[in-house]
Amino acid sequence: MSHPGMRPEFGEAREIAAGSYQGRLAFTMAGDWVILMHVTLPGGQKLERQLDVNGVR
Amino acid sequence: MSGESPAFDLLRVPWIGRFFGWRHARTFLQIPILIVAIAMIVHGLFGPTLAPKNLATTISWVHFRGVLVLVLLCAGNLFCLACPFMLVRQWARRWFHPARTWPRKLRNKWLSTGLFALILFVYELFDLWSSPWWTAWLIVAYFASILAIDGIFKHAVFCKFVCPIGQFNFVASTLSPLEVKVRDQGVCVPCQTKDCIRGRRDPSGLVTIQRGCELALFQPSKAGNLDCTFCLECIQACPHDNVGILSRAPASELTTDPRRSGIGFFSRRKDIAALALVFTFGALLNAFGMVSPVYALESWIGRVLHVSHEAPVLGLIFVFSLIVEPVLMLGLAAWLTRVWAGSRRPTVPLMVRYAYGLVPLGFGMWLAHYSFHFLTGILTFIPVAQNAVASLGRPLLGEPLWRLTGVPTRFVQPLELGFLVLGLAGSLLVTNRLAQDDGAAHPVRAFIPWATVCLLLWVAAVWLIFQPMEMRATFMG
Repeated sequence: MSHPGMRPEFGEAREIAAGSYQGRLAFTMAGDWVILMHVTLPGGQKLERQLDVNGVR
Repeated sequence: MSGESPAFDLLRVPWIGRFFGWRHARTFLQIPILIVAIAMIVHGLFGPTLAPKNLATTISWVHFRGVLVLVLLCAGNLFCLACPFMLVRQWARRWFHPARTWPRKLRNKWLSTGLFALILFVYELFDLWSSPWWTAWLIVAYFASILAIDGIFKHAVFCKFVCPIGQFNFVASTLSPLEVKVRDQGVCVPCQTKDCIRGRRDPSGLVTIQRGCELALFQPSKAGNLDCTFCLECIQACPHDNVGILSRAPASELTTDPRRSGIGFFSRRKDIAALALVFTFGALLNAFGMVSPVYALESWIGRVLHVSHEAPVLGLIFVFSLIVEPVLMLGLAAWLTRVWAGSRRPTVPLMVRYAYGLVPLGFGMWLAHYSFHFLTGILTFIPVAQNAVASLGRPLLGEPLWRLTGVPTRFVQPLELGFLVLGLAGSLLVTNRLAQDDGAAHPVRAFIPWATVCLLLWVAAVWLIFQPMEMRATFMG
């Protein structure tokens, strides 16, 4: 549940162990956030996944 | 006044004047807006479900609203001029010939004021800003409503008595610097044909070759912008080229109370006063619905009333904000104007009279709110459009540049504050002018209660724009 036109935040996740990725994000305002993950697999295949993070205070 | 010469007439400007005099000028402006509206509907129904990636939500809630209020501030009611709904209605009327007249009981602003409040309510309840699907259906519903109503009833019934966006524009345009107006009243005096309101028919009398004003505004006695859609019909109908788009002092029409064509006296129109109040208090409420304290208030009301659904809680907030609060504030101010300043007007007519004085403050709040979203997200339509085109198979506009947003918040907030100061100044000027007329013996005493109302609302507005927003952000990575 996000308002269009608001400034998006960007971040990049790095592999910290086999199959595990870690990144840092800044939620710059309160509310319900939506994280869109753009993943590129070793074969070049691209995926997009959405993760809802509700109730950020 | 015969021979009156305006300071500025938009129609006297080369090219612009020629363009507005062209009989297809309105259609020319409506077609691109209609194409955008269709794109918004299609993308809203079939595109991404995430609001910041969808044309329906981005253009509706960021760009349309922002451009609308800024154009109203700088020029006039140009959205109604370019209204895409009217273009579709115009095409439909080639096949449908409405014969009925709008019921007399509905020839007022009560229905449209209720619909205006309802849209504000639905916007908050269903979080329309975050739903491309419902935003698209809202646009579809608009097209369907206008086709149904103007397909049955004659004239521009939808614009005058139903359209909530139109009512917003009418009220806001009382503060616009331009007005469609007679250039020289002396030219109108001997006019027998009155084409500006009757239109023109061919010699058989069966075919209309030029419409007159469909909103029943007779140019010589039209005063102000209320109910004027800038449709240009009167300009093109006048055989004497005596109607222009003239400059005037914004808000000047709120300080006088002449008998207005198609409207009557402001002071006798409780429905228009109610519309002005919903416009003003709705501006604060609409902003309040998007900041942190509203959630604390909602949960408190829910706990006290043992209610877990949002609709009744939000309904209570709306009833209090749009009915109880204005009635209490204006009622108290009107009572003080009577007993302290000695005004002879009864309380309710005083409330009606001064309700118009709050419009500048309300417009200041709408400007502050909508210009914030518009300016901070002004470039977001670019990646959204790029993404929409790319989703068709080829990224003809390039890969989406999601980092494009707009002006940083720190630069926009002073502008918001400026709009609020402008609104306060306008309301103080209008209410002071009304108080001068009302309290002949004690004009300052008549003014103080209304100035207090204006200041209280202004403080609330300033408090609102500095509150942290909620539920408005997106993370993309």
